[in-house]
Amino acid sequence: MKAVNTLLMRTAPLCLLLLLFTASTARAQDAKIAMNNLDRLAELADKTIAVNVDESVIKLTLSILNPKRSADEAKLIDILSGLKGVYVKRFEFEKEGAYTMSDADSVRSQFNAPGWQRIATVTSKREGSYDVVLMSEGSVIKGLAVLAAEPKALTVVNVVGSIDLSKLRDIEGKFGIPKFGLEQIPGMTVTEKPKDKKEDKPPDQHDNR
Amino acid sequence: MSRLDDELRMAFRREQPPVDFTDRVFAKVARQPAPRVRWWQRVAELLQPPKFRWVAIGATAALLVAIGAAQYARLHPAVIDDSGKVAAVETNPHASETAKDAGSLQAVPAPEAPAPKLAQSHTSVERHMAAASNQTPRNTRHMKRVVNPEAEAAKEKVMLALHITSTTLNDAQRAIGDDEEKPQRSR
Repeated sequence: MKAVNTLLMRTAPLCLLLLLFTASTARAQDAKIAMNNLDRLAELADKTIAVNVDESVIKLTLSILNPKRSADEAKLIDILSGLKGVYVKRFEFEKEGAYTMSDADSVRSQFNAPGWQRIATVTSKREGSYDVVLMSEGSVIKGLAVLAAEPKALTVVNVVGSIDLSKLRDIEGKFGIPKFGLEQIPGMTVTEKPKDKKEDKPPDQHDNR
Repeated sequence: MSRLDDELRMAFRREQPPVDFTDRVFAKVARQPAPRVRWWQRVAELLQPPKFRWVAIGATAALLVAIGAAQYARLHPAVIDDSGKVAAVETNPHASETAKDAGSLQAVPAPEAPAPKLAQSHTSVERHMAAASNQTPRNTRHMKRVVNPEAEAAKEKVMLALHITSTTLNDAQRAIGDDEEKPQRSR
C-alpha cells in the first residue's frame, strides 16, 4: 500500500503535466477558424452571407432525417453524422478592391497553425486566390477550411469534424437549397445593401493582389 | 398445606363454558365497529419493508415511461390534419433547379423574393397544429409525423452551409484545374 502511495505521489505531477499538455494540444488542434475579424467587411459589402451551423443544429437536422425516405437523405445523414460544425462567411462587393490583403491574411494566417495542412493554393489575377487546408489525424479528416478571395467576393468556409470531401463536393446543385427566407433562419444573416446609383464610379485599384 | 392444595385444585379445575358462549362472543365482535385507518396510515403502510420495494419499482418504472414518452413526443411531434395526409413542411420545388442552373453562390439569396419559404412552412405547420387541436378521436388513426419547424429550419441552414461549402470547393478545384492547364498550353 505504501509503495502504491509513493508511486502515486511521484507520478501525480507528471500526470498533471501530461493532462495540461493534452489540453493545450487539443486546443491548438481545434479545427475552427476565427472569422470575427472579417465582420467589418459587412459594412462595405453589397451582400453578406453568414451561416453558423454548430453541433446542436446538426443534431437537430439529423433528428428529422430518415435514410429510408430517400437516397438524398441517406447521403445527407452520411455526410452530417461526422460533422461538428459548418461556418460560412461570404462577402460580395459591387466593385473590386473593396477588401484588402490584410483582411484575407487575417484568416490565411490561421492556416499556418499546427495541425493544418495546406492542400492547395491557387492565385490567379482573373479568378482570385484559393487556399484549401485540411486538419487530419491519420486518415481521418478533422477539419477543412477554404478561403476564396475573388476580385468581388471574399468567402471563408470552415467545416469542423470528419468529412468525406468527395461526398461534400457532390452536394452542389442537389437537395433543393433554400432560396427564400434566409433571414428567418436563426444564426444566419443575409444582408444586402440597396444599390446606390451615385457610386457608379470606375473601380478602385484592387489591392489584395 | 393440603388445604392450600385443595383451594388451588378447586380454582384450576376444568369448567365447561355455557352452551351459548361462542355465539355471544361472535355476536359481540360483530357489533364492534372496524378500527378506522387514516390515509397517512395507509401511506405509511406502503413504506413498510415488504411493500416499499414494489412501490419503489413501480414509481421508477412510471417515471421512466413518462420521461421516455416526453422525449419521444419532443422528437416526433405528431399531428392530425383534416385530410389524413402527411403533415409535412412544403418544400420549394424550384430550389434545386435554381441551384443547379446558377452553380454559384449568387443564386442563393434572392433579394427580390417576397415570400420567404420558411414563413410558408410555419404557416403550414400552424395550420396542421390547429387542425390537430380540433380533432375528434375517430381520426386518431390518421396520425402522421409532422416536421418540427425548428428542425426544418436547421435542415435548411445546414443545407445552405453545405451548398456554399461544396460550391466553394468546386470553384477552388476548377481554379486549380485551370492553373494546371496553363503550363501545359504554354508548352
